[in-house]
Amino acid sequence: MGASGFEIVVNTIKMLAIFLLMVQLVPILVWVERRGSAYIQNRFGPNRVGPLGLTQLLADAVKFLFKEEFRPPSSVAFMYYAAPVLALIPGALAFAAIPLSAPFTLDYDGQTYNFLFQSYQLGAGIVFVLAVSSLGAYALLFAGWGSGNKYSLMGALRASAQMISYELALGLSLVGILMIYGTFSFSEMVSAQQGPLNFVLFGTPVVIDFLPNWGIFYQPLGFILFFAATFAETNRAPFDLPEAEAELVAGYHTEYGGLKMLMFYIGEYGHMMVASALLTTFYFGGWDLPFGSEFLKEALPSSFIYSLVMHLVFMGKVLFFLWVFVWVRWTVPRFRYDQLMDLGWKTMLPVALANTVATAVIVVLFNSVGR
Amino acid sequence: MADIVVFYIFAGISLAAAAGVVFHPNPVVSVLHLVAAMVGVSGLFFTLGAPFIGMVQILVYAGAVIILFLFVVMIFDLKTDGKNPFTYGLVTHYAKLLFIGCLTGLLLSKLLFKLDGFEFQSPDPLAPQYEVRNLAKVMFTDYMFMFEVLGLLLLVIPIGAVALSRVRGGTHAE
Repeated sequence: MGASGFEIVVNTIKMLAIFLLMVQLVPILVWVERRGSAYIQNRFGPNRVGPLGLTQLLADAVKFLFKEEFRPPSSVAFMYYAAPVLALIPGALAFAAIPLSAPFTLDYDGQTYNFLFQSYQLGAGIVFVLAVSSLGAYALLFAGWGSGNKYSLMGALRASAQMISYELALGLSLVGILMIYGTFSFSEMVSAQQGPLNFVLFGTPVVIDFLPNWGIFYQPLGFILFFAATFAETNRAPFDLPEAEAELVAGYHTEYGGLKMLMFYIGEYGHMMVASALLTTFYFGGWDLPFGSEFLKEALPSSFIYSLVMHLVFMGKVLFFLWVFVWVRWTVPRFRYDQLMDLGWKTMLPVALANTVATAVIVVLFNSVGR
Repeated sequence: MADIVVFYIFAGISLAAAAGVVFHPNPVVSVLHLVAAMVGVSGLFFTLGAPFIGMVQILVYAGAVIILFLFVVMIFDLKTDGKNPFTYGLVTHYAKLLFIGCLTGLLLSKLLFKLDGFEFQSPDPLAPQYEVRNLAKVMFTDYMFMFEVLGLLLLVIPIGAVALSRVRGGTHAE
C-alpha cells in the first residue's frame, strides 16, 4: 500500500476510483447497448426518461433494488447466493491490474512520490489477468448448479465447455505478442509501443513515420484471434450460447432477478471492459497517443494532469471496443453449438499455433523485432 | 509478521478445503472444495515469493482442469446425498485405516522432529530464480528431457481417451 500515510491515502483513493469507474460504466453501457441495438434494428429504444433516455438507468436501478427477493425451493442456498458475487470479482480484480494511464508524481510535504495509474502492479500482470478471468466460469457454474433448474444447468455446462475451449486459443494468440515484446508486464509493453513504427529488417533499421508503433502491425493475425476469443470468453453474441434465450429460457441466470441479476450484468460488462482494455494494451498502444504525446507532456502543467489526459485517450480506445462488442452482438447471428466447438478447436487453435510458430521463427531470424 | 499471518490464512484455507474434498459426500461440492484448495495453494506460492507459479496454478488448475472435473461430475449428476464418503468393506476397511494411520504418523513424526528451531522464512520476492525468464531458461536447458517427456505423457492421454471411447461404444464407436 505504501510506506507513508500520504501514499496509503492516495493508493486507497486510486483503488476505490478504479473499482467505481468499472461499476459506474455499467449503467451507461446498458444504455448504449439498448439505444445501440435500437439504432441498429431501426427502433427507438429507451428514449422517454430524461434527455435521450439517459436517466433510464436511474429508473432501472430503482426497479432492480425494489424487486422481490426470491429463491427457488429446489436451489442450493449457498451456491445460489454466491454466484452473483463471484461474477463480480474476476472482472474487478483483473481490471485493477491493468495500467489505465501514464505513471504520475505528486509532491506532498516537500517530498515527491511516484504513483502508477492502476490499483496494483504485479511482475507477471498479464498472467494474473488471464488467471483471474479464467475463474469467471465458476460464477456461471455456481449459478447453474445452485439454481436447481435444468435450463440453468445446461447453460452453465455450455459456458464451462466454451470457456475452456476458447481459453486455449486466447492464450496461444497472446504468445506471439509476448514473444515480440519479451515481457509479461503491461507497463513495459505499453512503453515498447510508443513512437513511430520501427523495426530491424535483416540488419537495416526501418522507420515508418506515419504509423504508430502498435502491436497490431506486428501481430495482425494474433489480434483477430484474440478479438474473436474474447467474445467467447465474455459470453457475448455471437458466442452467447450459455444464455441462448431461444433454447434455454435465459441460461444460467434464468432463476435470478433484481439486484442479483444486476450483479451478473456488472460481471459481464466488467469482463467486456477487461477484454477491451487488454485489446487496447496489447494491440493499440495502451494509453499511448500516437502523435503529440511529447508535446502534451511539455505543454501540460503537471504529470498528474498529463496522466489524466492520457487516461482519457485510453478510455477512448476502450469505449471504442466496447461499442464494437455492442455492434457485433446486434449484427451477427448466434452460432450453433457444434459450429462453436468446430471454430474453437479446428480453426482457431491450429491458426493460433501456426501464428505462434511463425512469430517465433521471425523473432529469431530478425532478432528482436520492434525494439 | 504479516507474512506469517498470511501464510497461516492460506494454509488454513488449503487444509480446510482439502479436508472438504475428502469428507463431503456430494461430489459437486467436493470438487468446489478442490478449487478453494488450489486457490489456497496458489496464495502460498505468492507468499513464498513465486507469483508466476502461483498465477499459473490458478490459470491451469482452477481455471481449466477443475472446470473439466466439475463439468463431468455435473453431467453424471451422481446421486450420493446422504451417503458416507467412506465405504467400509470387510478387508478394505482395515487396509484404509492402516494407510491413514501410517500417513498421519509419517507427517506427525516429520513435523515433531523438524519443529525444534524451525523459523518461518519468507524468501526474497525478487529472487532471480523466480523470474519468468530464468524459469524458462532452466526449463528449456537443464530440464529439457523431463519437459519433453511430460509433453509426450500428455499426448498419450488424449490418444488413450480416444482409443477407449472408440472401443467401449458411445458416439464414436466403430
